[in-house]
Amino acid sequence: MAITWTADREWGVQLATGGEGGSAETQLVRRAAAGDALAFEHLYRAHVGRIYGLCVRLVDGDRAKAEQYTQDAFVRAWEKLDSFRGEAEFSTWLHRLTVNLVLGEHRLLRRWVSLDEGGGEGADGDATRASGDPAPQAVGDRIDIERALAKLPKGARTVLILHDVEGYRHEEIAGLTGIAVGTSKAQLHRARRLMREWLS
Amino acid sequence: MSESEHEALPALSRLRLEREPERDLWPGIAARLKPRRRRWPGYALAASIAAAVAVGVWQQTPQAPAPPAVAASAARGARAVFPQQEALLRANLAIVGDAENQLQYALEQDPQSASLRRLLASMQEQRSDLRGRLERARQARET
Repeated sequence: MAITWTADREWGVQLATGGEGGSAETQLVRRAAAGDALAFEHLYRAHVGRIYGLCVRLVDGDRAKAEQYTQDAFVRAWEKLDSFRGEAEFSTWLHRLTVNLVLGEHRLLRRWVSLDEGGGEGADGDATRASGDPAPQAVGDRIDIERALAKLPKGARTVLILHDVEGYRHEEIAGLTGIAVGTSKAQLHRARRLMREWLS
Repeated sequence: MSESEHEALPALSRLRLEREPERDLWPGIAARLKPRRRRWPGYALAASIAAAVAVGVWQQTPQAPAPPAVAASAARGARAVFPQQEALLRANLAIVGDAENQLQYALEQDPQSASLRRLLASMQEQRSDLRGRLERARQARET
């Protein structure tokens, strides 16, 4: 079956207006799974902000990399749509697929936590120099949340974002990225401690 | 470890999760979308039509009376088989056989399809039934 392009343009409106969005999205997913690329484009338009935002965070704000990973994620989603059974929301499925693609397949998180653990808290170039040492670029007595995040070691920051911002459980983080559950917990604890020190 | 270290920082809830890319990424994505592998509906449709034809033809064939309780009645029923029935049954068997082949091929393309499996089971049942009838028709002719 070739890729098909239908002339139907009303889906974007339905998704944007909510209400019937869920069922409309389900139909879009079905159509995309049957090879309708226009339906898939509507799904892309509806979710690209969230996926690109996630990728930007996962790659430290590197926009070129984030764009590349976003494109890779949607291409992968197209290839795997047959495996989407609707047990979870499409957005959740797409989000997990992206985390797995960026952090799991490229082994980024494993590499980062390995570096963090091997070199102590100051191993990461952007990390704090010593445990309990407040970030040097404080704005007055308090630094901005984004700046504090940027100063965390990569592994700890990524686990903090996945767990506390995106709502993943440690078991899910481990399953998607290949790190151990205990490592995920340790990284989260470390990230929270440092953030509290810097933000207090 | 203090109690607060078990809790997420409230400030994190203010983080912006969505960002729009500075350029439209869709053209690059669209160029990489490969056509999907062939799916089964065409085969399933063909199989369903074949099945419907088979059932339709079969239902038009003269039916032998139900087997009576006594042997004498059974013999009379068997003799009532029309001459064309064997040929019709063979034709139906061929149609059902084709449908089965198509369904098996479709299942190779989509092994998880429950509807294809049901269709295949139905075809197999029909084939078994037709073979039984064909056998009874042969016996009736030879009696």
